[in-house]
Amino acid sequence: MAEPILELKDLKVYFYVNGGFLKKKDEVKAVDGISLKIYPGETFGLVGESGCGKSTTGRAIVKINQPTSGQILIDGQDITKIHGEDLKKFRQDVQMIFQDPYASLNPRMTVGEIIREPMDIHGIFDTKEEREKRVRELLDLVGLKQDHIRRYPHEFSGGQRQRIGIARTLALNPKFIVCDEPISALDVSIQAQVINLLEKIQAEMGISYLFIAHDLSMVKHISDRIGVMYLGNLVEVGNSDEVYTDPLHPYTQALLSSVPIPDPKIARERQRIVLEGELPSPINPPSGCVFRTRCPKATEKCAQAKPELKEVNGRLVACFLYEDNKE
Amino acid sequence: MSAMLEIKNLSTEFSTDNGTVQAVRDVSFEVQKGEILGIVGESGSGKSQTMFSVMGLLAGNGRVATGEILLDGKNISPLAFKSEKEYEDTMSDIRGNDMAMIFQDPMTFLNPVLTIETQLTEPILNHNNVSKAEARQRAIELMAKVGIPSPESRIKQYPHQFSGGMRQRIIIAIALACNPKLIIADEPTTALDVTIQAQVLDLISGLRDELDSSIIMITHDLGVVASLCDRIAIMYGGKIVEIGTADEIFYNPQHPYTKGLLSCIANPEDKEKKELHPIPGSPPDLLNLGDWCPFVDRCEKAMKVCKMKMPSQEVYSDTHQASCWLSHPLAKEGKGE
Repeated sequence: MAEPILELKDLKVYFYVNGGFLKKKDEVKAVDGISLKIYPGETFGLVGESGCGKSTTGRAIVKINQPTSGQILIDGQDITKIHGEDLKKFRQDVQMIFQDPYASLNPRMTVGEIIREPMDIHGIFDTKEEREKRVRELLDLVGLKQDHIRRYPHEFSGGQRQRIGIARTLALNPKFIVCDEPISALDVSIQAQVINLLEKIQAEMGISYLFIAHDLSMVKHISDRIGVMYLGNLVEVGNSDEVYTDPLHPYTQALLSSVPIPDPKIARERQRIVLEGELPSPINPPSGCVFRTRCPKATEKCAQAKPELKEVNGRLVACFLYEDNKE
Repeated sequence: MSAMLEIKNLSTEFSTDNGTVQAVRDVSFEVQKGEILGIVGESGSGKSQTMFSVMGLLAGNGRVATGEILLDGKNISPLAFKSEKEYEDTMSDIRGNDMAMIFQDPMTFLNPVLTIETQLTEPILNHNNVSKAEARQRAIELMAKVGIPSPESRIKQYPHQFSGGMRQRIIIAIALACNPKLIIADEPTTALDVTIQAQVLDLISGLRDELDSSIIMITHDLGVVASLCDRIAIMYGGKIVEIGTADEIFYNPQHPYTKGLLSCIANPEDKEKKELHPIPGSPPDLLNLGDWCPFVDRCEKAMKVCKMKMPSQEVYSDTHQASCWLSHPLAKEGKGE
C-alpha cells in the first residue's frame, strides 16, 4: 500500500482546567492516545458524540491545539515541533474547513480578498493579476459567480458562505483538508450541494479528507473508512460499509442503532440499542475501558485493563469481547 | 376520532424595516386526538412561526393576519377576540395547561438562577388549586416519569448541574405538568447527540401511548419523523406543499420539493453508494413572495403556469394532498409548458 499522507502515533491532547494558586489543575483528556493512518486520495470519517475529542483531533492536525504527547506525521515528517519555513510549507499542504460559515469569514473583507489572502501570505504567483485570475478559477470551481468577487460575506446564504470557505481552503492547492462538521450548520437541501462539491474537488484534485461529523448517514456516504471515537479513544476503525453493516464494538453498535433512518418501514421494525446514562466526564474517565460504564456487555475485565485497538476481521476494534474469541 | 387542533387558512405576517415578511401563508391542517404530526421544513419555511401563532408567542412585530385556530373546537385565533387583553388572559389559561411547548435549546429555555423545583412547580401552581407540597410531589413524579434518576435530590438543583439530555427531559416534564391535550415540540432533539436523541424520541413516543395527548413535532430531520410520526406535513416558503401519512410521504411523494428532500439525504441503510441529488439554489426570500408557487425557482419541472398562479391542492387519498401544478389534469396530458 502507498505511504500514508497522515499518520497519528499515540496522539494525546490534554487541557488543564480549574487550576489555581497552590491548587492542582485537573486534566481534561480530550484525546487520549489515538493512532491512525490516512492514505492519499482517501476520505476518513471521524464520528462520535460531542465531547469525544473528534474536533480536538482535527484541530491538533492543523496545529490549532498543541498535542500533549505523540506524533503527527504528514508525509513522514513530524509536524508537532516544526516552525519557521517548515511550518509555512506545512500550512500550504494542510488546510481546514470550519463548521460555522458565519464565524469563519471576516465580515470586512470582500470574497475576492478572503480567497486571495492565503496566496498573498504565501507568495503564490508573482503578480496580483495572476492571483486574481486564480481567485476567479476557484469561484468557478466551487460554483459561485464571477461578480461575487466584490461582495461581502453578509450578502451570501449559509451554503454559499461555506463555498467561499472551501474556495479559500483550495487557494494553496493543499494535499490534505480537515473538514470539521462542514455541513451541520446548513439546511438539508443545501448539505447535499456541499457534499457533492467536496466529492467533485476530491475527484479532480486528489485531496485527502479527514471528515469530522456527528451526522453518521452523511459520514457513511462520503467516507472510505471510518473511525469511531468515544471519550478521547478510538474504539473501532474500518471500511465504512463494513462498519455500518456489521459494527463490532458495542458502542458502534449502539451509536448506529440510534441513527434515525429516513424510511418509516425500516425505522418501525428496527431494534434500537438505547444506551443508559450519559458520557462520563473526561476529567475522571472510567478505569479500564472508557465505555464500560454504559456498555451492555461489560465484564469485570473491562474495569481492570484498557483494551488496545486490535485487528478483527480486517478491522481494528478496541474491545475484550473479540480478544477472548481469538484465544 | 375528532380533531384536537384545527387550523384554517392561517396567515402570519411580520412587519420589518424592509417590508412585510409573509412567514405563514394560508396554512390549513388538523391534528387528531392521540396523533403525532410532523412538520418538516428548512429554516425560514414558517414551520416554527405557524406554531408560535397557535401558542400566541409571536414576536412583537408579528401578527396573525387571517385564519382560525380551533383548539378542541374553541377558536383561539387572536382575531376572534375583542381586545388584546382578553386574548392574553385566555391564552394564559390555555398555555401550559391545555397545550404546552417543548423548545429546541434547553439552556436558553430554563432560567439559570431558579431551581428545577421552582420552574417545575410553577405551571402546576398556576393552573391548579394545590398546595406547594402537593405541587412538589407532582413535580417529583414528573421527573421520575421522564427518566431522571433520584428526582427527590435532583429537584433542588439548578439547570447547569444537568447535562443537555437531562435538561431536555426537564423541559418535557414542565410541558407535561398539567397533562396538556396538545404538545408542540419545536426541534426537541436538534441540540442533542444521537444516542441521547434516541432516548428522548423513545420518551416522547412512550408519552403519547401513555397520556393519549396529541403531539406536533417540528423538525428539519426526515429521519426523526420517519419513525415517530403518523402523518407528516412538508412546509416550504410559508406554505404546506404536501401532507400525508408517513408512508405516503416517504414512498409516494408527489411534490417536487418533497422528492428533492428525499433524494438529497443519505440513508445509511442503502447497500450501494447512491449519488445525492441536491436541490439547486437556496430557499426563497420571504419578503418578495409572489402569488405563485414558492418552489418555482428551484424546481426542475417548473412550467409557465407555476410562475403565474398558486397551484391548488390536489387530493391523492383521504390523507394525502399536495399543491403542485404537475398533478393538474392538463399538465398530465403534456399541455402545460
